[in-house]
Amino acid sequence: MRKIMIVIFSFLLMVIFFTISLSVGTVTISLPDLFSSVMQKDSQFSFIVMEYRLPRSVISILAGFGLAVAGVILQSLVRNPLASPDVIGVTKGAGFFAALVIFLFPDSPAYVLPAAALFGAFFAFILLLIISKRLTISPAAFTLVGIAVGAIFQAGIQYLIVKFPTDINMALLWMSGSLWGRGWNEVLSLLPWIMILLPISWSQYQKLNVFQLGDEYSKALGLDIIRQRFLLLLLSVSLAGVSVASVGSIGFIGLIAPHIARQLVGGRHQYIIPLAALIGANLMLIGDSIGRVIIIPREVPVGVMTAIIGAPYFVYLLRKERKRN
Amino acid sequence: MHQWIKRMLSFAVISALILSLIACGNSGKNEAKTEVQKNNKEEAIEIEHALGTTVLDKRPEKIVVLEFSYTDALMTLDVQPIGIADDDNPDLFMDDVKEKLNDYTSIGSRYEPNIEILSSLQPDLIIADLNHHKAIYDQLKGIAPTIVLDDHQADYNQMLDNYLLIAKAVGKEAEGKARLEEHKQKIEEAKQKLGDTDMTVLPAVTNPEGFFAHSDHSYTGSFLASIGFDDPVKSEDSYPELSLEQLVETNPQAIFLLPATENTIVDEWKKNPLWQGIDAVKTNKVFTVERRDWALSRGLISSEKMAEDIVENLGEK
Repeated sequence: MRKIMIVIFSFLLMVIFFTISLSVGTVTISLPDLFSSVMQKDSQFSFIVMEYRLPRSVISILAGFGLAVAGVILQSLVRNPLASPDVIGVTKGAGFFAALVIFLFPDSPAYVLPAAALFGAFFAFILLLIISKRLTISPAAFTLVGIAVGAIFQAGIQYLIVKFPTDINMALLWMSGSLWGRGWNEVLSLLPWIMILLPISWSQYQKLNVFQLGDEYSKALGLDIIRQRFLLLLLSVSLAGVSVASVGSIGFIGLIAPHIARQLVGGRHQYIIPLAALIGANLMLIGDSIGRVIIIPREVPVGVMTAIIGAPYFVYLLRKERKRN
Repeated sequence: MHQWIKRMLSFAVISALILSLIACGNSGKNEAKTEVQKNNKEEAIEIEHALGTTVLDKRPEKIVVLEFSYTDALMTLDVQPIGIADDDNPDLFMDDVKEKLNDYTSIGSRYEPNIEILSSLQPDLIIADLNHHKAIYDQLKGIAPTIVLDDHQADYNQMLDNYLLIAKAVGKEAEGKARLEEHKQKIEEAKQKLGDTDMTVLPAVTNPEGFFAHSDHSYTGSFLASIGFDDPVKSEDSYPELSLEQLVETNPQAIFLLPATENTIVDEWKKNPLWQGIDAVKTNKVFTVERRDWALSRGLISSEKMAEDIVENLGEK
């Protein structure tokens, strides 16, 4: 019961943060004004709210969901609390291909960049599959392979940055993760994915619960571990890939949201998955709201803000945990 | 929105056809009348740009620009923008531009202009850059008619083309053409004063990390090439980074340094004996000029300033 209450509480928190993120910015919009700008088409702030802040906040939530759940699946699968889509090279792959587009094809139409990032995420995944002998190696070895793949892409990104030193601003902004300028088109390309992948992920909670016990137990309990591992990984990579494609490589949420969720509700995935998703969304919403207002007229990328806010809370939770033990 | 443009276009085409038919039918008789109608039609401005065609119903009054070079262009046309993406740092404008510029609202970073401020200004024309702003074109269009130019990667000649488009968009096509002629004349005069330009000249932005040559693919480099100087780097890239060894190898006969910071890597290089081996150093032809003027402003005013700087330093005395 307590666990359900925590999930409900996080949901309410998300509603509050969502409202805040709609009302703060260069101009602060009061609640009544906010309400009327959503209801009436031509009210004073309707453009800012409907065309600018609303899609942006919706994307915050969707990407927060995607990144956090991708992290949950991955951490349980490899039974490594340090794993995240960032660590096994998926976000780095996306980042490398995005950087390729930014540096080599600056004239390409706007939709090429997210497409390339998505492709990069899956490309990294395929590389992982090949090198890890189709996932037959141990989870620890798999994580190391992932780190190696990530290192290759990171080197590629560094090479591009050194090669085109005067054009790095765009690439750096993308790679730190930014919500600037995201509109309804991005919502439309992200929403269907998340709507399909999120319920599927949740429906897998029993398998994830079993996976946590270790390969031996999983096998003994009748799980076809290689096959299930592949399917779950594919799920995780898809979630991370579509999220990163629309908001840039924000690695931190996938690492931290699952941890916070575990600290709060224990090891059962039927609770971890929804809670981690909500925490991911909350982190994105707070990060973006603050990032938008602290240095007006400029803004701090959401990836930077989520790390600044999330890390201290994470450390606090860890210390509390240690005291309890 | 797309539908709307299409409808506007077909309407414009049809009305133009009808007008021309009427004009043909009554040729001679009603010349004065058609003249008037023509004037009315000229109120609407139609601009073809990098991401499509934009129609302005009337001459725009409240203009927002998202690059430095657009401000440079507007200053030559005596048009004041109400908002500029100036990286929130007015010191980046060259002095000649800043002098002419009235108060404006900063829209923030050129890479991520603040769309909320932009929309609150309620502009009736936005001039954006293809490379930086293509992803938000739809949002910008929702705020005001927007034209998107390929400016960030433009060389000198492309800038001149862009200039005419800007002049047309703000309803000062004739003034723009005249100003462009004046500009060409000024550059021509500068060339006369320079006389022989058969030498290699290298402009380079420097900071503590490196020495970034501007090849003839870049804006500054292409301007020097258009005057007649040779590019010593011959690079595929616009801004290749050179080490001291590479610089010695390219051996330019004159160097224009555009320092981005107070202390740069060149301070170190000057202590190195290799530095003394460069032709430009031997003949005392290493000059320091303003990066704002040479690499940021990128317009008619700035290229005239560049020509002035070059004549001052390399002209026949």
